[in-house]
Amino acid sequence: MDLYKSLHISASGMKAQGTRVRVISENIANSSSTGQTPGAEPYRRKTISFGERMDRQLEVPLVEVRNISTDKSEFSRRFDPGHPAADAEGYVLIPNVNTLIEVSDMREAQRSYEANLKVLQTSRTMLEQTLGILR
Amino acid sequence: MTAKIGLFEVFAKRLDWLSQRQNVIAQNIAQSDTPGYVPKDLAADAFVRELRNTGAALRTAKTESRHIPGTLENAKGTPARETREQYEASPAGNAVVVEEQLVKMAQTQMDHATVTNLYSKYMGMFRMALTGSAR
Repeated sequence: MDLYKSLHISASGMKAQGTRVRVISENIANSSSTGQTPGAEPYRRKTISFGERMDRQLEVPLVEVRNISTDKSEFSRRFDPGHPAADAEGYVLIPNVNTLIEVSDMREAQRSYEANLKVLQTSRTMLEQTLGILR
Repeated sequence: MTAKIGLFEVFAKRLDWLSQRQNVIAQNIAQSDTPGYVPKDLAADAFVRELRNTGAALRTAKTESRHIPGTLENAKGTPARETREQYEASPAGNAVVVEEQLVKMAQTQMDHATVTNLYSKYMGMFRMALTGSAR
């Protein structure tokens, strides 16, 4: 039955978006985690990407998290000579997390999650209508 | 009389087609953040063509009890094709427009409700003819 498969597909989409929100929350929570020793690297922003995976048992393509990697962009620096992680010149490396980007990314994840939820509800309604024929 | 009862087959085929379409839409929405994903849809005329072919298609005859029954061409369902007219694609190559998919889903749901209601009505007519009362 195709509608049961649709439920699985939507659920996998919701799961993927949930993982995305988790990664975003990690980034935001660590947006000011600096190193502990002089010149040490601070927290590096994480990125997430999705991919298609064929589920052999259900015979439907589901969404999965392909990889969670790190953002290779440069760290910015802040002048703070008293900080334990300050280098010889007195600069501290700041994580390459932009809270604005993270928040807009989070909004997008939320919208995608909602869309998947809507599909799930619709599939459910259609299933109920089909079962309603029996009444 | 057989032609009239054949209407049940039309309902069944239509419901099958609609649930397949719902499945494809669920896939599209679930993959709305997968890089390089192109949305799919069932061809609009596929249902009509399928219905027209039902009578014409020749099933292989079983002349021996040990013969394996022949399958009709469309036993695996209508094939889903990638949509050619794309509205826009993201820099990562994803061409899913969630709004468009939601509109398609609403349409599918409405059609599904129509067919299930028609089915109930039709059954009611049979019941009336057999028992002489609407209930």
